Amino acid sequence: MKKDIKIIEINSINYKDDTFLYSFPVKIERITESIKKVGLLNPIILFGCGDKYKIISGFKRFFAYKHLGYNDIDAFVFKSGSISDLEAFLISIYDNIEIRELNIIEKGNILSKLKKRFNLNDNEIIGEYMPVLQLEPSKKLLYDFINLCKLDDDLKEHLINRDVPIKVSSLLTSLSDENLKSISEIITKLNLGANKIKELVTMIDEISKRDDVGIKKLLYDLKVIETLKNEKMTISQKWERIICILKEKRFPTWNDIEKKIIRNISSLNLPPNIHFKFPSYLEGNKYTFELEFSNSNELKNIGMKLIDISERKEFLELIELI
Amino acid sequence: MKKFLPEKIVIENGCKNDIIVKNILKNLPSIPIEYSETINNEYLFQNVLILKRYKGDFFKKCPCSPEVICCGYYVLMNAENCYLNCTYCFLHKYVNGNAILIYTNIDEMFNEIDKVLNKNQTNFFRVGTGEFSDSLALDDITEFSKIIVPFFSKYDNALLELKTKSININNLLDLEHKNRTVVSWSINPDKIIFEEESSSPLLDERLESAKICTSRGYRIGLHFDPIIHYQGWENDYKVVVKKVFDFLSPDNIIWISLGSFRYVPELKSVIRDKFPKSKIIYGEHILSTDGKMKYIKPIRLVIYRKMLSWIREYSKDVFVYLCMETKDVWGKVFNLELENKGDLEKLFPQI
Repeated sequence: MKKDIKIIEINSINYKDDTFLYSFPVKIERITESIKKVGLLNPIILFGCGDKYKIISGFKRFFAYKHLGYNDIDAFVFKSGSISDLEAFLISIYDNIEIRELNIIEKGNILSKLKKRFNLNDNEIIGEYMPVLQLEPSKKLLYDFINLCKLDDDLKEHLINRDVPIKVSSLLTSLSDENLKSISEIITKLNLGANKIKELVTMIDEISKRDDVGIKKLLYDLKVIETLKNEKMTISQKWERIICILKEKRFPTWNDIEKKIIRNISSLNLPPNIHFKFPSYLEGNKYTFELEFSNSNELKNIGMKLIDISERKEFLELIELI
Repeated sequence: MKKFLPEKIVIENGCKNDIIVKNILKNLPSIPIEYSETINNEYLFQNVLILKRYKGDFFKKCPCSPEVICCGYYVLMNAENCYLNCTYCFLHKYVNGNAILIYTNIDEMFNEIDKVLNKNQTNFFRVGTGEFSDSLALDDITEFSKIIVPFFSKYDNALLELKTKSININNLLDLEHKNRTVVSWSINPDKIIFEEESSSPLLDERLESAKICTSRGYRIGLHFDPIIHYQGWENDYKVVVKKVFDFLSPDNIIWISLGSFRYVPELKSVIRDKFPKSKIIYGEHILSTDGKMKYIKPIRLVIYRKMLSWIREYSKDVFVYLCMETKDVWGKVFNLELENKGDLEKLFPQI
């Protein structure tokens, strides 16, 4: 593949042709600073196209140059017809993966373009291109990545910034557009990471399917949107409140029982040196008391307190539960 | 009941003279046949019937976690997979693909069973064929019951259980079972059958088949498993209990098991993807001590106590037991202190 290195006028580059663009987000602050300090270390790669050039690789470098008001830029140039569009796309991919890690959105953009723009079939993409992107060759994974394209830019950026893996991100792409909008607002406004996104989406999705209620209606009826908009609450408080609302709705029986347990334990008025523990979800047949004491008198007092507790109605109700 | 029609029968070389193969070819004359030296993995994902010889142990203890009280059941590996396609079935995760495998070297199976039963004559064995497949769903094709029921009729220290949802009982009706075979049905309200067992016969059909079996002297087992918890479950299951005793006399029922819906966590996404309309995975399930997702204990206790009380309205004596439940649940439901030292096994009727 013969390419020439040339100095190309900025105005002769058709930057609007996004045939080979997959970078996301296209932010240029850092690259601009770098270029200002040390110049362009890696020429961009262009494709001759009549009297204009298409950018194969280096969109951010180009935009930085444009922003800095420079007139021309160093570029490797492939002559028109010397390589196919697909070969050019592959060059673009390799040019980037050699120097940085591609994020999940960029991988999704690449796979989507291979399918929709370059018309490759699934088997070709899975067999030849997914390994290049260091992805397990799998049809499911292919479509998980392709479907990321449907997310809005704010959500995409959030997923990148919070390093949310594809397994969690793909939960969002299975939602309808309307539902995605509602959930997306919660995710970005509360700055949720992978685990919380998974918990949130799973909980909402399951309630919606169990009760045959649309997600948007569900979030309004449960006052989730209202909580989100409450300016008197911190982000952390909003998250705690929302997840509590959803857990109550998803596990109503357990919610009632847990409240009863907490209420009864509270009624026992345990001193600070006696701690009462119950097995997770009452799976098990033993409660535990943890005791703190530093002399035999304290231990005696604890013993008397425990005898008193053992006869209390609230305690007997707890025993019945387990 | 949906009929099973494979696109092809794949027969592993070396087993074409086995009786099961002959029965199947006789009963499915129009299905194309392919003979193969070995069974490639690609067959497993096709709608085919695979006939081959089994190379492992046929006779195994039913897999049960040490965290739950074991009932001492044994299972036979005579077939793998099932076409009834119930939404909740563990086979969706356990088996890779659609093909049904039938193991044809039953002479080896019987030798293995004979050795174990003869070596342990003071022990009593309950042995079932319905763990990895439905015991009778393909019996009209394989005629396996005509071989295995007479085989078990020779043993005083074993009971064969044919566990099924099907109504394929014709081959059983004239067999000399000598009271060594129990025919049992998994049962559920029709709402659950429609929604989760849509290829299986309705409740009345299953109970009618059970009734016919009792007229031929078979004892009947009933498995309320899985019991699904949903709004209205109480009314629906109460109706099922009533129907059971409308169709069957308690004297003909040897045991009833109760098992609430439980599943390995990995099965959840399979059910969700394969059966998007099913809501069974949206119950109040938590990860239990035995590694399975189960309804929270308070829900399970309500289910078992109510089911038991309804059954007891019709029969004070019929043996009822819990499947894969913890010691504390046993204690709460039956007021029994059981340990995993064969305590539950000893409670089973031994005939």
